[in-house]
Amino acid sequence: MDTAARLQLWPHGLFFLVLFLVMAPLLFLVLGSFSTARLPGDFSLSTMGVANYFKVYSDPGTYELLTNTVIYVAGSVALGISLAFSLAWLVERTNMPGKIWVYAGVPMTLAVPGMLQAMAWVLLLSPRIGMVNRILKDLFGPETPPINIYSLGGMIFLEGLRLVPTAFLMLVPLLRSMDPALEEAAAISGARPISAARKITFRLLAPGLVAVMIYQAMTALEVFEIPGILGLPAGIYVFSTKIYAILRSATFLPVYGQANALAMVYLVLAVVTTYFYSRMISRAERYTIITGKGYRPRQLDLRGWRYPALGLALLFLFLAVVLPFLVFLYTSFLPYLQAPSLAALSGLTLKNYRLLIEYGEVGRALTNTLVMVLVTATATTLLSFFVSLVVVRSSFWGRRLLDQLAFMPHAIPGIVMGIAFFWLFLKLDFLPLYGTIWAMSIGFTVSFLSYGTRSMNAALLQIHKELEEAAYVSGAAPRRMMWRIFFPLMLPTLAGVWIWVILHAVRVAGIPLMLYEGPSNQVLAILIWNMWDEGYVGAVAAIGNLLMISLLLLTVLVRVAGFRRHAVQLGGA
Amino acid sequence: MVLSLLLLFLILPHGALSAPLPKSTQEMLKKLKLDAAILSDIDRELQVPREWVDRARKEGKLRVFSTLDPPQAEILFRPFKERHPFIAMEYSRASHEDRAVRTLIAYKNKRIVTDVLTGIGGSFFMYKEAQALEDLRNLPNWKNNPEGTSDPEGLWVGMHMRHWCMAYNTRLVQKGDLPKKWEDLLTNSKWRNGNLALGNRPQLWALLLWKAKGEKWTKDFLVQLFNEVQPQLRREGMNAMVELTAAGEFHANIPAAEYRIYQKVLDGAPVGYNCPEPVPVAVSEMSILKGAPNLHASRLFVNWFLSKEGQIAQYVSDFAPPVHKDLQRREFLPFAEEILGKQSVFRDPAIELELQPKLLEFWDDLWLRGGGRRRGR
Amino acid sequence: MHYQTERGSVHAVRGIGLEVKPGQFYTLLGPSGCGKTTTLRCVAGLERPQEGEIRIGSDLVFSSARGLSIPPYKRDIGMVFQSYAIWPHMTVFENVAFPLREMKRRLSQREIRERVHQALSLVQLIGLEDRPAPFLSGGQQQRLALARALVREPRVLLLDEPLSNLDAKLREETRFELRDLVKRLGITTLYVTHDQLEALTMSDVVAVMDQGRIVQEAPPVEIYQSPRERFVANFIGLTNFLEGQVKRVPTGNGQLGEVETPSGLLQCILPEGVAAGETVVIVVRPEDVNLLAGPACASADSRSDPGKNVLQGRVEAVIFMGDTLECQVGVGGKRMRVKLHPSSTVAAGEEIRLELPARRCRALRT
Repeated sequence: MDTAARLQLWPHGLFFLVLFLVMAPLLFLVLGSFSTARLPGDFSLSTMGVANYFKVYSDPGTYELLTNTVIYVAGSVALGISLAFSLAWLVERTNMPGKIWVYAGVPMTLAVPGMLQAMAWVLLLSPRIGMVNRILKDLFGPETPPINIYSLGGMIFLEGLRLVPTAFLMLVPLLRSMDPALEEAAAISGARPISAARKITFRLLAPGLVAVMIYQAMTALEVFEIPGILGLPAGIYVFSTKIYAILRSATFLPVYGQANALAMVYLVLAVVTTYFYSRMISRAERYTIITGKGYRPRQLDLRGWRYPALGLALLFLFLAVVLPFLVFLYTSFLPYLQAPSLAALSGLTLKNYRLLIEYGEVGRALTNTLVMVLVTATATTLLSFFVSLVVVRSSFWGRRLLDQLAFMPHAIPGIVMGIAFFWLFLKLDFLPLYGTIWAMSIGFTVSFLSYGTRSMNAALLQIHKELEEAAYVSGAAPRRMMWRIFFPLMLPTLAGVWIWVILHAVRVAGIPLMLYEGPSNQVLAILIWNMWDEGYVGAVAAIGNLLMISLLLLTVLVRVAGFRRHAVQLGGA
Repeated sequence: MVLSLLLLFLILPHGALSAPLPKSTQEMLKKLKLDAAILSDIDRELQVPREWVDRARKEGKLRVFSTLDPPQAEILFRPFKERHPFIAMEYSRASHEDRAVRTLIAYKNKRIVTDVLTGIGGSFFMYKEAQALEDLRNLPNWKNNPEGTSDPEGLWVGMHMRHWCMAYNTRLVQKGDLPKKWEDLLTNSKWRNGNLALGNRPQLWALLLWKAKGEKWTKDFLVQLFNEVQPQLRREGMNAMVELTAAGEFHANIPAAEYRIYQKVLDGAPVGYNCPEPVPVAVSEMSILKGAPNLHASRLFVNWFLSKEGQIAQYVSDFAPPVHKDLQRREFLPFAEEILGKQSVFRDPAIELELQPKLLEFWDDLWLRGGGRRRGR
Repeated sequence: MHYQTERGSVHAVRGIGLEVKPGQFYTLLGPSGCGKTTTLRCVAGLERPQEGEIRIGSDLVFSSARGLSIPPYKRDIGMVFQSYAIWPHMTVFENVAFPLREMKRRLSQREIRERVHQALSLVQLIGLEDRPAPFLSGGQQQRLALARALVREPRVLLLDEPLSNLDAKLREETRFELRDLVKRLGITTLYVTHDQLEALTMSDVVAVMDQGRIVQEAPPVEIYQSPRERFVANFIGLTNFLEGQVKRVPTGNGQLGEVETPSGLLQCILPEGVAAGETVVIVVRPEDVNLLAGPACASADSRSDPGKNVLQGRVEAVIFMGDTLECQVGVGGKRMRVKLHPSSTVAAGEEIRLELPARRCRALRT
């Protein structure tokens, strides 16, 4: 009786909490776009106007921006998804050797922050000073056109690489859960493998694949670091970086309102993509039920292509992880930037590493980052868990809306979220949040909620309701059931989300850049960004190195722990 | 042996009249090969109302925002810390946007994130509007600064001199191509094809050309520069630009300050410094936020900073030329041969208020339209 | 267990009342969507009826009038799910021990071990305690689910189509074992299935359900032999249906009536209170039909002898079924099915006569 009433209370509470967290900053974003006052703090009704919109949308540069953005997103999604799909397919459906390296290695590329990847590739392919370009010039003569990483092509390449791990993680279960009987039926009906692949396999995969594509397109759209590092110096703007640029304009008189006006595009995009995404998902049939049975999909025999396939996969890992790491390793020991040469090697020094120890702000940034990241990860995991519970398992009237609310932030770039929260915290000055790491935590949590809920939704759907009911009829009250049945079964997913958030919160720069106020809330991402900005390449390389190593270690630990648990859990499946 | 003892006798009474210099100061002087006599009147210089010291003792950590590298800041602060061991200090380095704009936003939100702030530059008028700065004219060493190197209303003091000229890569540029006058940039084809890079800081050099040569000349010059020479338009900070020049990303960048280049040269980087005429000279500003919780510690610090000891400490830490009127000497000026003897133009506070907005508007337009895109190779 | 519920218009169950006596094996039988599973789940407390009352023993566990609804974990029940719902992250031992750990009274480790052992031995899963549950075969998992349901010795055992995922041979074995076990333990059992063979072989009482209501509730023999409605007759076993009109109503008890059918006049048992002229359908099981060799003696009178219903027909198909021979005979435009001993030598195309013993023919209202 009371439980029924109580049970109704907390979905409502959760709903309003999420509503506030997602909508309030967006509200301020919208309001702020009408503000013609110079600083956000000076916003008031008297300074409202449409001047910002006018300025932004009548500027022909804005439309060029749009074209750039479209090319960039389309290109990187095409590249990233094809790579991810090929890798996932090789791992799940062929007899390529050394699968475990690929299966474990690809998600590890998440450990390399996008910023650092971009920076490393700048060091390699900057048209004048990039190491590769210099080598090419040495080999083929000084007139050889350099490969220019400061280009749309460069941006597409790197963002494509970056999209792979998450897409891979989403595509693997998709491929794995395909009922082989469906393909076998096609084979028996006379279809040759290619034909079967095209007509049956691919069609079955299509909704799920499209969903992944939409999701990653949203990722590419919102990402800031790659276009920031590669595009800004060349003046190639996409939406996310343009917003940043407006705030950092020459005259030190950023008109904050204009950034908001531009960001409104994202809002519209967010709504549209969320809508399409949820439709895709509801159409995609991709969840198996854990009942102890498992499917073994058919494996394609690659024959002579086995090792070349492995080679290609390893090439990806090389480009995405190993190369940046090597570049940073080398650069971190240089007193000043120079191409690899005997002279350079003789001048190696530990100066940069020593500076790190001496820089008080590094220590502070580390502490801040650690605290912020742990809090964010925990908050996101818990919030996602409860939201997913309501969305998947309850009959709350607003659960679909809640699901869409939770998903929306994904379409909004970190920069925009950052601005929105910036305004929010500024205005809500009775909450002592402005300028603290808690502000960043909140911003991140809302941002990551979309990933958390996707994961949790999927996992919850996999837990057959009867597993819960069996606990009920065996005498366990709901709380006990949670603890003894639900929680252990969800533990891999909970841990997965937790780790994912940690990896992302450490490396993402968009939100922190907007909410950063000073040493009190400086985090590693900002430190690195600022140092790169100010040209302390050696120090960046040193920190970058250490950061990558720690993250890689973390990922390895998680994989190892996860593997063992995974094997036990699904038994013979 | 006897001679040195005799010398000691002579020096000792002199030294006994004033308190001994902090150890770090003595080391500094030794490093620069300077005579201790240069600081003979330092005690008098550092006299402050007793009340300040007492109250500073009760205050919390003194926070300073600036552009020094933390290790450099360490060097700078050492003598001050020796004199006032009870003052704990917290130093942060941040880019201009973060330093100037964010601090102001926070201030308006009733959060004071720092006590001492430097380099607010173009954002100064906003601070003035918001009445966010303390009046520094009550500092005894205020008078050390020459005319025009501090705000007439006392809202900021000049910290050091800056000469904003050009940094160039010594391997890529020949001495003969270096411009003697600014207009030489327009005529020498070696600066085309993106070999030259501009940073987004027109108020450091173009503003001064405007003052020296007038509006029309400057506008024409800039238009030709942007449209014909088509330099790379970079958004990186000043230090990054120099690093890139050293690495060969471009042959030269404008503007570049002497102290930075000097540091790089000492590091062994292949960079050089060149000043076309007229030489743009500016000061960087130091201010105290109004209502700073550590007001007295701040005052002690800024006052010390403006003294000879503070200024010498600054030079030792990052080679910034002192602004102190008694320290305008050759040994405190990196690349003195480039700067001295040429026509220079100084950025006084008046032109900031008057000319700067116009320049910035003009420049912004050119910059954004230039798009930073490199045309042609 | 008393059960009386009512649900709304689009819901699964409308107005059901049933009572299961202690120790009884009561089966809810019906096609998918008839509401049997919903009913079971209401008893378990996993679903709430809109109206009505449910009692387990003397305890009222649900009453809409009083606004009372005891949650499943407070009801003294054990349940086996169709998917078995074995918890994959626990071992066999842990799965069975779970209900013991949830009991109000804290049990000692030793006691838990003993009772788990007992339960496992009942289902013959001894020796597999430490195996992770997903590593069991289908049949083993089903037994595990049973052990888990029984370990607390609940008053009522609920089973939701527990055998449907097993293969035929295993199903057959398990049927007997299950009933045997339940009877030995004397637990009241409510069983849900769509398989009429299970219902007939295992139950004490079968309730046939259709579209949310109970159509007939009776012991298996009666259900089979005396179906009260066409639905029941059709659902259970194979049946021959012959429509017709009542010609003569029986006088006195135990007398037969007469029904005029297109295939001829047939004598049969008529339902109570039926009047002449009413349309009825005669139901006769294939195994009750006898084959008479040779065509009728050439009397133009196709009228049957009293007490015997004889129809003329022609064999259309003969299907060997292993243990029987099914013979499909065309009679007056209808096809009748006849079960014969497999050694019978009837061939397709033969003209034969069928005898429908009157006492084995039942007329049902349509």
